[in-house]
Amino acid sequence: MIWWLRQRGALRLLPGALLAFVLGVSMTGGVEVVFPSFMGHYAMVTELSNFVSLIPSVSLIACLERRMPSVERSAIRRIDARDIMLVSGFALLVTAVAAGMSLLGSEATLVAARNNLLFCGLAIGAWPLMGHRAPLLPVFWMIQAMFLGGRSRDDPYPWVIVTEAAHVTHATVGAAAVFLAGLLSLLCFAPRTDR
Amino acid sequence: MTLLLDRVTFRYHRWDRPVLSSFSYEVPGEGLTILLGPNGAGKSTTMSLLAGTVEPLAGRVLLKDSALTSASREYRRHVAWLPQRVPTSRQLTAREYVAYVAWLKGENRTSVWERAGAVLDQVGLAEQSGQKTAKLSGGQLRRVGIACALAHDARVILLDEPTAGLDPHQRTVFRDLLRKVAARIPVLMSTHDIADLADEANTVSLMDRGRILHHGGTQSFLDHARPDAAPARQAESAYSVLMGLEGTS
Repeated sequence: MIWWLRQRGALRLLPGALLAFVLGVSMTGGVEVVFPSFMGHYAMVTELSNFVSLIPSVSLIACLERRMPSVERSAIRRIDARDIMLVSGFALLVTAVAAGMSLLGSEATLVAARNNLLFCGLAIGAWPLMGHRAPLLPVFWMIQAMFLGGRSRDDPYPWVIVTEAAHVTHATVGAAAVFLAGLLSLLCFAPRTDR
Repeated sequence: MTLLLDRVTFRYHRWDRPVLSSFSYEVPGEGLTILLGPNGAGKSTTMSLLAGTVEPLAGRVLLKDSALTSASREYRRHVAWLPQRVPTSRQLTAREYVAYVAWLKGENRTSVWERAGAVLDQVGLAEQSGQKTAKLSGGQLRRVGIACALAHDARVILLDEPTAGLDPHQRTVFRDLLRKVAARIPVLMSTHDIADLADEANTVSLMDRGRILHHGGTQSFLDHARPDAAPARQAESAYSVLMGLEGTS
């Protein structure tokens, strides 16, 4: 099992991504950026830490892309199940760490926890279809949230999620739903390495 | 122990013509068998079916005399498979890679580590066992693939065009190794290169468009060569005659 963990980057890549996420959120919490709006929408003020929330989702796809299908497809161990447990477990761990950090007082980390769940859900949901390009989906979501997501000043559309404040319930529920949908997509449509 | 394709039909997509249709083939139970044929003959499909990486639309793929089909885990435990392109890893050393593949085949973790070292020694890669596989040459990578097969006690080894892309020296080294391995375990090797017949193959199967055109000993294959063919070109001549590319006289 240690070789499987090493092959997937569970010993370096994922811990590195977690560390980068924690440090990034800590250092950029409270730093706000404003991007111009397009198509008559309102510009959204965005915390810089929202971009940092993309790191875990990108690392999850890098982890899945380290599979070796031509070798693993003739395996008799359940590698698919382990892969799904690894990526979903990591996404939940990052969310838990960020949620835990929010107890120290920063609201930005709670937003980062929620957004991490959303981005990880989008990335793993897109992976069976898009392969290594799957991180483009959360990046695209982030961009469209900034440029097109403002209903009025500091009031994003409900479906945007990313730029909502920490206490907004529908955003948290939405992020959790997207994560579950992503997990379901991974379970149903990911290329099988074993049977 | 040998493998059998029993009236197998297979196609890659629902709307495609079948690559193989009611195709039967038995892998000889000993020595080196070469599955020869041009590109698109169905060799890689045959190999993938035998390896259990794809499932037939109809028919059965089984370990003869055991009734184990390719859908069963036990079948895959006994069959080693070296794909056309051996994937490399920047994370694993050659020894870890061999141990990982054997572990995937259900072997115990502690035992495979020792065996990985021993089989890398057998294939002449003891010095490279600590190198990442991404840094190995094509020839060394093929030998790592053979080591993977030896590390998990395979009963049959399948090699899909293993000599493709190797330079002459690497081919010679690989063939020497193959000869030694085939003396112990039945090996089926697919190739489109007639030069691979120099591997002292026990059996030659010639395949084209999903059909076996010839199956028999190497000498019986060479007997199809034109009488005026030079000794060094007998294999080429036999291939051309059997493929209908030239007449027998």
